[in-house]
Order: sequence, then structure tokens, then C-alpha cells
Amino acid sequence: MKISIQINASPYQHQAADSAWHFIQAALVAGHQIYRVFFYHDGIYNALRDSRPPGDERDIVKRWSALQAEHGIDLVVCVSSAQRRGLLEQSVARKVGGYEAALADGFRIAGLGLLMEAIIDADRHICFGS
Amino acid sequence: MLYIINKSHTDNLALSKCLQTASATDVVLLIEHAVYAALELSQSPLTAMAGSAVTVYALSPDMQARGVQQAACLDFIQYVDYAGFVELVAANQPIRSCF
Repeated sequence: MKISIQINASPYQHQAADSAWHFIQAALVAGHQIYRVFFYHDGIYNALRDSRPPGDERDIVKRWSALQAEHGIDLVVCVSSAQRRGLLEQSVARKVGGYEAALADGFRIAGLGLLMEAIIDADRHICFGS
Repeated sequence: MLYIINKSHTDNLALSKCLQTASATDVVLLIEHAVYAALELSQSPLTAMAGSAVTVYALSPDMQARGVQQAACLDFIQYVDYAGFVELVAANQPIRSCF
């Protein structure tokens, strides 16, 4: 079964990112496909490369990057949500003089069309939020 | 339909509103802070649900993280781990997350 995930909350203020990550792990073990993880609203903070949690804590951003590297899961950050919060794609940052390396490995920035595509194409869509 | 509730019944009315519209074939899953609503003494909207056909699950890892013991919960609550969460998602459509 193809499952798409939407995350609407920031990683260290709410449990949404943790809940989604544990759900995805269980879904992969059960043989399901994670079609896409779409980061929306404050969920875009899951993609901040320079997030530096204390060494004895889970690193949520790196955990997503590792998930993408291991399973090839499509991690998509909403472009509008990201730009409102100062997270810019490299080409945009270069154009406007912003920080060019803000996006963590494994993520890409795209529009809401990819959220709609995920909702339509996946068998199930689950939203984790605050 | 699978309703996913993640807020305590003292935080907002998501659980109450969900129970008002849920039918006998629907399933309610309590995750995150919503697991507090499973406690027998919580005065949550679930306390009036005994005998209802709506099936209510609570996510056991989130219960353990909050010290919510099964023995203190309403007797009709059922329990799942994340693997069970995935099974509920596979078995139910549509899915509505209520915030």
C-alpha cells in the first residue's frame, strides 16, 4: 500500500515529527511504501540543515536525511511555507542574497501540487500536526 | 473512517466533535496527548461512550511516555503499538486527523 505523510508542525515543539517518523518505520517494516513526506507550515523546520540539538538528543533533521538516503523516500518542503520562514532553495537564495545552504540533505522544495499529487496517488494520506 | 486525535480533551474539542459524528463503523485512535482521554477518571467525552459501537484505540507508546496505565483506563479502550497504528490505517479509509 502507498502511504503519503503530511507534517504540519515544527520538530522540537510538538510530537508530530516523532509520531510520523515512528509510523513510517512501522509502515516500512510492514512492507508498505511511503509515497512522499510533505512538510507544510511550521513543518518546514524539519528541513533546517543547521539544526544542532544537544549530542545526547535525537537529531530529527538528520534522521529525516538518513531515512531518505536509506529508503529513497521523497521529502518535499512546501515552497511558500519555507520562504515565509526564511528557508530558501539555493537558486532563490543566490538570487535574493539569502543563505544558500539552508536546506538539509535529502529534502527538496516544491509547491502544493506535489501535496495534491500525493493525496491523489497514494492509497492513504495521514496528517501529523499540532 | 479512522479519526486520529492528538490533543487532550482538555486542550480542545476535537475528540468531542469526532464522537458526535462517528458512526458504528468508525474507529477512533488516540495518540500523543489524546491518550489522557482514555483514563477512567479523566471525565473525557469517552466516559459516556461505554456500550457505543465506535471502536476506540489508544497508542501504547504514547501512553507509556506519559505514565498512563492500562489498568486506569476505560475498559472498552483497545491498545495498539505503531505496527497496529499502521494496520488501522491500512484497514480504514478515509482517515481524518483532528486538531
